[in-house]
Amino acid sequence: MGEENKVTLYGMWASPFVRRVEIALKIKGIPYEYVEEDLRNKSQLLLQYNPVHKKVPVLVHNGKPIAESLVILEYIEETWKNGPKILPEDPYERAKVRFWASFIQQQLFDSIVSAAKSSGEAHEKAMKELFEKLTVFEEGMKDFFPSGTPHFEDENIGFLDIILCSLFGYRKAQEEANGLKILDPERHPLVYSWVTALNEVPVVKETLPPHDKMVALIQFLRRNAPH
Amino acid sequence: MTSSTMEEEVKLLGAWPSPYSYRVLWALSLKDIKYEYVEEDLSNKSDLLLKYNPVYKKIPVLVHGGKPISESLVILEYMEETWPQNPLLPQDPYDRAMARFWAKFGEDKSPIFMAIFITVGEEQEKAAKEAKEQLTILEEQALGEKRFFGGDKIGLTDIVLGWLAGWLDVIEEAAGLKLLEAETFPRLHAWVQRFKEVPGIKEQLPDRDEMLVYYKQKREMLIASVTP
Repeated sequence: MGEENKVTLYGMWASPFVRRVEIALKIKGIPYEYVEEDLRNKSQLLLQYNPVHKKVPVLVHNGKPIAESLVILEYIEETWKNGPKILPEDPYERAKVRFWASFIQQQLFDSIVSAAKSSGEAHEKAMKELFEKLTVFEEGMKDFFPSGTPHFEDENIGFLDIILCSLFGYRKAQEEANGLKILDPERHPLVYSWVTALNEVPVVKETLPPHDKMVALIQFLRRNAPH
Repeated sequence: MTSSTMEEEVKLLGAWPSPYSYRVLWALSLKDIKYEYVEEDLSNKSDLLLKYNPVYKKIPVLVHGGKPISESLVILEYMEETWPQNPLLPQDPYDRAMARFWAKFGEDKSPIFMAIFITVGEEQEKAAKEAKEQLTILEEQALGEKRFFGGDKIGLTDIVLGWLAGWLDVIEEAAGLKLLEAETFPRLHAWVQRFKEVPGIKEQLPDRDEMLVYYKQKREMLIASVTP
């Protein structure tokens, strides 16, 4: 690959944030080099490219680094104008997408992490909070899917689809590793059917972390979590 | 659903002295957009607010042609796309990414600054130390030698960090400590003075004396609730 338009993604196989960027790059058909980082032994390049947070993902385009997955997604959308669009054209529709992306990021992600890390009474409380937030999300999503069932026959997925994949990507591994069931088809039928439909889309399937490896990682982290 | 046009009615639901509210006021001012302002009493939220932001029930909410948008960063991006005059973001995608990166940084780190206001004693000292680390990053990496975070003119990042210019010194006084000292943070200090003089911002800064009364009261209530 020539230096002109060279794209490198620094990531980690289990990171949902890295996965977002991978999906976006694949949707747009952007060729890229992937560099796997060992987060316990970060490379000099990573520390140089993301000195503020020292985290993955980092996208490097023509030698210039960008960090923070949602910032990277907006950058990808604005830079590669040919190919499928990730965000809607209309500013109000875009605002709705960004609002719910922020909700998923700030409300749902944290709730799932709390639920996964806690036990006993704290866990019960965390699960209750998660389900309440998922209900708010379910209600909000009715606006996006007025007919009720998300379809992706044309395989055109967008910003919210990408972020949802990254949120629920570990669902099956979490269930197997520690019995955590975060998505209930009875309680949240729309979100459930949405995630199920997304999991059939090729670019989503391709980027799903290997199941057994994920189960092992979750179990390892749980055993070694500080008490 | 039809798109709103630039000419349709604009309403802002806000609350004094919320810095989030002011972010939108500044953008409205800088882009010279006509709007109706509705001051919300946050202890007695209006039906309008509950209708327009059922998810969070918070201000600010921008209502354009009857359609509500919540979350200040989402509002700012919407405003930029709908009223492109006096842009808050640069043209180049990489520069835009940098602006958004630092806006997010500012947003993510604000609890660290709030911590100095809601803690006392050793906890407050620890919070102050952390806050100064973030200021160092802003001073050296975000601002550097530039006049504004946005470059020669103010932009999205300046607006998101604007609370450092209008609110931090009041919060410092109410909380009884100093973070942003001119000797330690000369560039940030200079930026604060510059920011407050920008036409559009200058006329839209909350009254310092009124804010001091407000934050001192809050601080007293907080101390009363944490002191055994």
